[in-house]
Amino acid sequence: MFFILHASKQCFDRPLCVTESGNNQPGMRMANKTDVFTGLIVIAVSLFGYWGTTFTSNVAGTTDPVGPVAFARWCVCFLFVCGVAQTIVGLRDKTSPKYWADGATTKKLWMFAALICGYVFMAMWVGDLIDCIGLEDMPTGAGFTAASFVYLAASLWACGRRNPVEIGLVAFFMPASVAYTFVEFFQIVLP
Amino acid sequence: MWSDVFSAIAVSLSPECLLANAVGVALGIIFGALPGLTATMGVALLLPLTFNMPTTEAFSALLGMYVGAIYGGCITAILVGTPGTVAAAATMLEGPSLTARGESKKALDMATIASFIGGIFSCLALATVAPLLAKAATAFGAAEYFAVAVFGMAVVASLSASAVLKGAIAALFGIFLSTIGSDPISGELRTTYDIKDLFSGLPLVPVLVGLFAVGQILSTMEEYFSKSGKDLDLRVSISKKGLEFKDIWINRYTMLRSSIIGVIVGIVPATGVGTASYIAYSEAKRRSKTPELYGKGVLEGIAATESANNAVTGGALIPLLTLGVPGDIVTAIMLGALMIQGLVPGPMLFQEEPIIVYSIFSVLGISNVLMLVMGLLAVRPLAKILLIPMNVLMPAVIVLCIIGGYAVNNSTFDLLIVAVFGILGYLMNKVRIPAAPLLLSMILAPIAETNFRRALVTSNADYTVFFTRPISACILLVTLAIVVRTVVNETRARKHQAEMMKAKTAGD
Repeated sequence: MFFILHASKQCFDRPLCVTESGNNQPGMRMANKTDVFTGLIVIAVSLFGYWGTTFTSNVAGTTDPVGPVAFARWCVCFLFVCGVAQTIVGLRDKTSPKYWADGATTKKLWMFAALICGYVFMAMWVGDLIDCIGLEDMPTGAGFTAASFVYLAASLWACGRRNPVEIGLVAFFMPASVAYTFVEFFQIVLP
Repeated sequence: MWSDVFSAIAVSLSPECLLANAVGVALGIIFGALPGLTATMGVALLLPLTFNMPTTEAFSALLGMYVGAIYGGCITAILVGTPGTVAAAATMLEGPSLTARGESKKALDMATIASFIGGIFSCLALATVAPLLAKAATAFGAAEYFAVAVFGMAVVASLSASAVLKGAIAALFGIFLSTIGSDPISGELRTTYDIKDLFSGLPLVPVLVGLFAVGQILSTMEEYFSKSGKDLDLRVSISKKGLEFKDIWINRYTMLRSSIIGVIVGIVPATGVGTASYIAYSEAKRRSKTPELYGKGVLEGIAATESANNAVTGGALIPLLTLGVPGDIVTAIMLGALMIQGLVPGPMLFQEEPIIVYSIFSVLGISNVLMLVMGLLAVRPLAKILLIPMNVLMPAVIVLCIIGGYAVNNSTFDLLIVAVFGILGYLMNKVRIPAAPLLLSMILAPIAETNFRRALVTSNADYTVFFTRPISACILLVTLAIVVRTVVNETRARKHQAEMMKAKTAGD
């Protein structure tokens, strides 16, 4: 997804209409690239949504004059119209608001987001992994605590903390105390 | 009825409920005070912990968190000049100036007392208006509920700050997401793409945690990274001299007027605390004998904003309890809490579970009392919380988000939902598509669809039923008027902007 966004941004970096000499001149119509792209994504989502409604037959009858997918279809049709409108608004927009941060900030942020995604996958699978390798006597929430420890250690480092003792203490005690409190007092089942 | 009221008060004063309330208020003040954490996030993260609690205890914690968080935003707004929550954005217009003059304690005390008065006023409004509206709502049929749901969706889309079109996109996307799963009337599966985990629909709490917690954290961390990893300097010193009684007495009418504004704004579905506090501030300035002093540190300004934003809390519960239509995002989360407890909000709730309804009223009042006590006595130690570094706090809150997302259904698929909607929430924030219409539409659309189809079934497919029933017709006409007015205003604003750009280009 990131590469698609990045590649699309490269395409939109050039002005949409140029003079014969190819130079960008003052007073040229420039589009709001982000809004145009947003409009196109909305159109794509609406088409995908409409395709999803085709799996169900909209059988209206005496007990239900509208049918089960009519509402969904009307909704994606309106969404399609809004997507087209957003694209046109973006093309006509002569301002160029700054939506995105600079490259270094974006890189750090997407690394943080990747760590969150990695944490989600670990929370889903570490417990099963522990089970598979035969460690059956592990306490409840051990998989979650292990996944949380790895995630916290990595993300604290990625976010700029450099004291290994501080990182180790936070990464260990925070999930352990949360796991104990939630399981024992609130009877919440952990991933 | 009075025996139910006294039983409800007794239940809400039980040690367990008082403890849950106090913990909720304290956590709420912390969530509200810390920039990057919001009231919505706090309530969303607390919700899963309340699943195994009795109803009154659960609502004690949730309402305590709500009230505390709305108030807590004023601490950083006054002391540091950064609003902890959207609710305190207007407080920031006066607070820092008072702090610069060495009157920070006075400003904080005024904010605390104004919040308390606004909160208690809204609690009284809730207790008097809600039962009357519930009685009137017994005349509501399917057509009326459809009209109210459409009204809520139209209002939330039209109040989007940046562009109505983007608000409409968010609302329509939310409606589409609500259609995933089994049809509420026929039970047929629709738009599930043959994914087994989607057969029962998209779960609300993981979507909420993703959009409003994870998405918000990503935005906060982006801001942190853009400042080269430097935290805001949140070391604060609070002055010694506090508020005097005459300062409160002088501002009594301002607080009362702002509380009324807050309750009215709270009742309108999908408006929020930010709207209320700005309207109250503008009104207070307009009526003031010294409007030129506004913006330079005026206690009256703080009294107006803080009483209005806390008055929204009770007002927003009125449409939730009487009609099942949430007044704002936080009450949308509480709608989820009610359903998880097996309660269906609406007029029948007042008849079938009066003790629970009255206990919600009294819990709200107790939350405001606890907020007053903590705000007046514990603000100095609470201000120390501001020293927690952002790059430690935010990764740690993600752990709570994961637990919160999983705890509803104990399904690992919900963790994927949290991650996907977290990234979606961040991207929506970047391209200025508001997330609130998406969530509120996800909640209101099933109400609209089910009642639309039921109304047609009972009227033998007569589509005019929505306009021949007077209440439904009135609500739909008001909705149409709001939509038309919003589109006209938006078109005028764009035309004006285009003319200004043309004039600027011609001038260059």
